[in-house]
Amino acid sequence: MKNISKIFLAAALVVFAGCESDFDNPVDSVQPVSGDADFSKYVAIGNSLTSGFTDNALFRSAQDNSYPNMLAQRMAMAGGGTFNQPLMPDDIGGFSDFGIAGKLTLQIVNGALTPVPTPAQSPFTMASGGPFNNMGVPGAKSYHLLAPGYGNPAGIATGTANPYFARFATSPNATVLGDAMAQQPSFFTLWIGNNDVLSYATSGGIGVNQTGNPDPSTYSGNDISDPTLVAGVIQNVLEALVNQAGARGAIANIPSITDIPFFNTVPYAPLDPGNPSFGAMIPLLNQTFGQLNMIFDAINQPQRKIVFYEDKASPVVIKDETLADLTTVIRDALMSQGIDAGTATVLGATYGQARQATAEDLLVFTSSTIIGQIDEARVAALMQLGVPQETAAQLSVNGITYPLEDQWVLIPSEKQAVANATDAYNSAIAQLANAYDLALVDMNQAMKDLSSEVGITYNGVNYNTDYVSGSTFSLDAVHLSGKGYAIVTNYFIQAINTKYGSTLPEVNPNNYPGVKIP
Amino acid sequence: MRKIYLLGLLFGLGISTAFAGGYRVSLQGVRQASMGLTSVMHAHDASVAFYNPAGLAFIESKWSIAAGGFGIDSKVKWQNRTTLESADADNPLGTPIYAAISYRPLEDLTVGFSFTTPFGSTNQWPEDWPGKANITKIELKSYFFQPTVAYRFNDWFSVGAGFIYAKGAVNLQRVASVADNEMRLEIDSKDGKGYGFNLGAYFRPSEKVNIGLAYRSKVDMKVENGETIWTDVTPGLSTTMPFNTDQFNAQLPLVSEFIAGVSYRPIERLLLAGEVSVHGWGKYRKLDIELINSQTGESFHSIQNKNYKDRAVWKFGAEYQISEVIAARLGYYFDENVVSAEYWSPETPDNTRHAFTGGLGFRFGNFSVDAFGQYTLGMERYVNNVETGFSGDFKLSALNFGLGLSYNFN
Repeated sequence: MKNISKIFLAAALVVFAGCESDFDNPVDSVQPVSGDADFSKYVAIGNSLTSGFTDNALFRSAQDNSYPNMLAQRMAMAGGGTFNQPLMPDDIGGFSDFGIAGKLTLQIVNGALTPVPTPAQSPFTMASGGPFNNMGVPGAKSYHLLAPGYGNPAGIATGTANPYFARFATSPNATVLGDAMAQQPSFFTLWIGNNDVLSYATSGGIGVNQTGNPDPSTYSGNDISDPTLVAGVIQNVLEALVNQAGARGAIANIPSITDIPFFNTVPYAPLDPGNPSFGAMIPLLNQTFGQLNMIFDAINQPQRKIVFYEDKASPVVIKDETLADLTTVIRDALMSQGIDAGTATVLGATYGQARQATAEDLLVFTSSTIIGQIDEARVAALMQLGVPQETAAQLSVNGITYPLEDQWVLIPSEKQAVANATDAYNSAIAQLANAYDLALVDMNQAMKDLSSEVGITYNGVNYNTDYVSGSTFSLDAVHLSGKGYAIVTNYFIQAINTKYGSTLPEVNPNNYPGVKIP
Repeated sequence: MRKIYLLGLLFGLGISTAFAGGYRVSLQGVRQASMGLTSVMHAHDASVAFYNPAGLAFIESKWSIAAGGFGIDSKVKWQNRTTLESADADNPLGTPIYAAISYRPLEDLTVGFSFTTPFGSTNQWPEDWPGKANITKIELKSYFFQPTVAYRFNDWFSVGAGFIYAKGAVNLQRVASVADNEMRLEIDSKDGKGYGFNLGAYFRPSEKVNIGLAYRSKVDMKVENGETIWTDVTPGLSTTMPFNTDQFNAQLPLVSEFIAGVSYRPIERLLLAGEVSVHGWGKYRKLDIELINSQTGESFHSIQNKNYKDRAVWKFGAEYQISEVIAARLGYYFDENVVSAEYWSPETPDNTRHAFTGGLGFRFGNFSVDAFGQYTLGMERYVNNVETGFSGDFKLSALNFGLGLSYNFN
């Protein structure tokens, strides 16, 4: 019996002798390793996305939150060296002497949340303290990485050089690649090719699809670069970095450009009958377009008819340059109805290739500021033709009586050109990543994840491609917020860890800045 | 009258705190807790009313009064090995309490009343911790008021039933993020209500053996038109759902329990007990908080899927009578996690637990004093919520203690 009571007492003591309650692998004793990679000299090459560009500008705090800087901070835990960035002179960005504005901020203007540019406060200055590990150059296309003179300060005003590269190019004739090579990187990231298709898309497809033409000297700014050219440039860059400098690295592919908020914020049917200035116009508009619609019926082109709804939002009227040009058909039909030649000619020219937008068309972000507004240049042009001012104004309402021009809308054939080029770039990038034994960062998949129904969620905070509320993109609707760059950083880290067996910790996107709603 | 005063006093103090799987706090009797939570077969005082109403009929005295309180000192730790972040919840001391009384007006009939705080959760995470979008603070309380009646058919069998009127209070706080704006949401109500019942049977096939069977129904704790408080809402979002809400509706199931247990006295001084309770956590499918704008009537549902699973808790206990006055008690119970890693959420930090209990009982005639201590070893688990993306390692441990008094007289 004595023994039983002893057992009870002993057991009771054991119960209250506090047990160890720490984790099996506590994080404060984790030492990240670099695996097969050597992070001692990391150089990042790329475009605006690499520089940290956000809210339509490059500025100091944006550079702090560039993905290469976040990445370098993680690498520093695993043998990485210092990471030097060509910091802008202030936290506003832009170049006061080149008329390039600083960052956008969200403000309440006339009761509506509106992105407002901040005037640049600093002129162009050279960055001191180079060389710079972050060689992201806003605006750079693939072939600019190899272009001598792209960083020549003398060429900025004439448009042959890029002010962002000119700030830190080591000489007027330096190339981005050359300056990167001079740093003898042990590790690099390369994310290039976005702008080879982006500017075509953001300009509504006014450029030329140069697929099949590998000579960039014949390109203009809004063209789609030839995939063979892009692949060749990237191969040159990798050949130098991997086979000459002996560096290892990661290369990112190109996301589906048309999934960014720039193409998904303005709906194709934005004309709300509840808007008093538009709603009141609807009966008159339908009566006026009725005349035109009869012609479309008569020539068996009912899909060209233009009708505005009184009970739901209506699609805008756009010009689709792929449509058969009915200018003369309309003119002649109107004239046969007794309409004077001048008016008939103007109407024929205006609606010869017009149709209402469908869900397949993407209106660009910037169109929101002009839809429903009177286009003054158009009014002047019509008056020049002898149209009375009042009629000219009536025929110049953007997206309603004046079809939106090419630059405001990506039509399906243009979307297809963008998608084809992106796919071609990405298959080349995948092939080269394999050939040069690099980590491939699938940013195309990242964009798919973000634009999916559920987006990406970190610790209860959701990220998606919605403008502002999606938290991922900045106010320019093209570039990422600090939070978005943190997500990019994690995709890089995952690819690098997988490829090289390193254990770089990821970042928590919730801890980085984004758009501040006033 | 004195007794009613006592109940009121306890009510004012009572705060129950996260414990046992889910948000059940299985501390409604000190002696039972000391013996590994074995309960339905211990008819020593009126506190059995909560566990098994039939047990009242087997209390030896005409009157029984029991009351007690506990302290729960819990530590909850979280870490994310992917980002190397970590946080500890700084939980205030939880203090569940109970009080019960029984009276036998007729030879075979016993009536009683039990007051308990059987469900609750209190977790205080750092204001700025990585999981703040899920929870920064939760304080969930419940108060069960249970009039009970038991009828004894013969020397070896009784039945009992109780009606449960439950009151509840909730305060939940978290952070809602939109772009770079963080807004704090607090929902608060002290007016939760719910109803339920319990039923039980008690068998004493021999002087050495006691058997209890009991069922306690689910109580749906409902809050209607509780208070919703938003702070730090920026003007640009102040008219946007859900940041313009000021009320909420919510419902939380305080789940059912089926308990079966047996005790055996192999020798005069030693009592052994074993019990299994099956908890109907499967009824907790989702937490739906409806945030309401009382001006416009518009509402927004904040829904988290929970998908809890029914679980059994296995309990073992022993009591050894060292002397006339002193008894020593030991116990152990095993409480398996009720939610999968995919739906785990830090507001109810659930994991598989091993609990080691012990205690001492002192009897001075009709009067008993019981002391209790428990160490709860929570198993480390990796969680990865598929809805919130909240992931990481999680560990919980706790020290519980308690003191109970009972007075049985004729």
